[in-house]
Amino acid sequence: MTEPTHPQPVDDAHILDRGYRTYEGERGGSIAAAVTIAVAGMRAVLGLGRRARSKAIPVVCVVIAFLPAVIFVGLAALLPSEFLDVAEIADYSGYYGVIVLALVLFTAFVAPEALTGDRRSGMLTLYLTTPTSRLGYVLAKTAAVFIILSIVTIGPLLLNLIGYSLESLGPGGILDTVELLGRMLLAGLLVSAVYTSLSIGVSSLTDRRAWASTGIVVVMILSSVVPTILVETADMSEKLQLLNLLVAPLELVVRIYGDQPEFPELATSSLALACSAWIVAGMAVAIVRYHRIGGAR
Amino acid sequence: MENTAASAIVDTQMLTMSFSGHIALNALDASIGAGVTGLVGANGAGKTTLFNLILGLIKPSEGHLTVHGLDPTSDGPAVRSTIGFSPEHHILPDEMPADEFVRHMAQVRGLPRSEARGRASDALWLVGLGEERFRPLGTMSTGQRQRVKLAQALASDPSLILLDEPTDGLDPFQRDEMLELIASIRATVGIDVVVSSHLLEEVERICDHVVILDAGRLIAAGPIDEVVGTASPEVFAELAEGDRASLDAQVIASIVEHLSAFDLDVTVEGLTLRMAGDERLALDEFTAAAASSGARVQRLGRRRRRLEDVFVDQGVSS
Repeated sequence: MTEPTHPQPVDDAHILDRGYRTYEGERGGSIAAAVTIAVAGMRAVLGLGRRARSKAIPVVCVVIAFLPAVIFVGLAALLPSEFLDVAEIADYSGYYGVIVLALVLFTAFVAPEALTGDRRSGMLTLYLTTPTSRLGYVLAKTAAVFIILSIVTIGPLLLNLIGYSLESLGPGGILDTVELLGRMLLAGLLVSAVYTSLSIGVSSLTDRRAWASTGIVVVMILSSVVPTILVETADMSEKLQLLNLLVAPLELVVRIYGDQPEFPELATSSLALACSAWIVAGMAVAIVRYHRIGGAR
Repeated sequence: MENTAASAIVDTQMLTMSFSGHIALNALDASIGAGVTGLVGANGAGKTTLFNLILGLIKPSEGHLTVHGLDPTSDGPAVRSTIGFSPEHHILPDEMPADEFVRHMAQVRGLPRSEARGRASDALWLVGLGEERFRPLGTMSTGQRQRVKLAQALASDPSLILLDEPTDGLDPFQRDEMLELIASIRATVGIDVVVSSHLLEEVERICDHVVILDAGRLIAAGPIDEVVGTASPEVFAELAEGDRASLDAQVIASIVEHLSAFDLDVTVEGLTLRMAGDERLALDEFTAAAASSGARVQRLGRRRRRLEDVFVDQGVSS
């Protein structure tokens, strides 16, 4: 006769349906809501929790941004010091010129998802019925793009600094290192702020990512081509390059690092003003736009 | 509970909302109290506008509105932290699993992450999606999406839930289930609910109170029995058509005259008479009047008034 089988005790048993319970604890307010939305925004921008194809362009951007840094550090580690020109290889201010493609790709094709995705998926309607405000929502999404873009603009240079320092190609002392770090942060945050604002401003005008990407590319091309043509063919003032989104922020970066300017006729204060104007304009467009849209429907 | 201003969750005074000349709400004076309240009206009646005002998403053109005693215009975040909202649209992030979506919304509504995770699961079980909670929203049916929307409104344990057309897109069976679910939320969980709908039968089935809107105007508001007048069911009689219309009219006129003498409110539609007032008296006196006038009665009975009758009385089409 066979023995009856007895169920074995299990250690990981747990009750799935606990019934509905009231919540008496602390509740986060509008700031907590904005932080949660910002974190979700970062995940959306990077394509986390979504299909593999959503992660493709963010990964390409990160690779383009970090690859030169990895190569430079690799060269510094592998080549004998007599073959290396420290000033040439440790060109922090010129790095953005090398990774400009990553910046453009990220601004035009990755960042717009932060805003347009919520409008397509109906999340905007829901977010606005929570303790967050329209302004809080826009700022949360801006923070999400800004943080990710800052990783792209600061991360590779930080990697360079660490690599060069390990190879004794870095700054001379602690003070110099701290100073360089400060310049690095300021320059990286500046570039991130300008391109974040551009992306957020244009993306706020549409719920289609393709339209947002097209709009950002058009603004970048127009801001770059029109001043260049006017300066070179119509012999107009070089100051028109202040409008150039590929010149003004990168030229200001050169000034932040104290390197030889490429456009000496442009005053540093004018460059700072131009960059500030781009940042304010982009944010103003988004804030005004979101002041009018959304709500229960 | 009475929907008096003192106990009101939502209280409006001369609330007016206009959008570039179009008046969406016109001098609305209404209170919404505890229980399940139906916000009824045809498309464009002002239901969604009222929701937007309650949530503090738009500022009234004129008048005043309070939610839990707070002004949503100036205390929007505080008001919204007490409200769960389920929108009319079915668009949800397709790739996101249901539990992640509900957890995220609970967190945005102020719950700590760990608490939000547990409550998301609880809310999904409550709406009958416990087994389906890890499925991406894009793979769910309209009925399941409506339940997910309800779950995300519930998960943060609000004191008030606003449901905008929660049965939209559902088949009759799913609609019944959803209505039962909404009714059970108030009964078992104790959360007050405001349901907007243009389907009167739904509101009659699950609501304790009703606010009826038409083109932004308040038609009626209060406990549903009072608004509909179901406390005294009306008596109706249908007369058989005679040989001559003039004779029929004479018969009807004599019956109406007889009944009016007993303070019965008589409405005539063709050969049908509806008598409101004392039910017993109406039956007795109609029988007597019909016998003396020689009327041939085809049907005689009692009829409970419906919400639709309120619309008909007010000359509005639902």
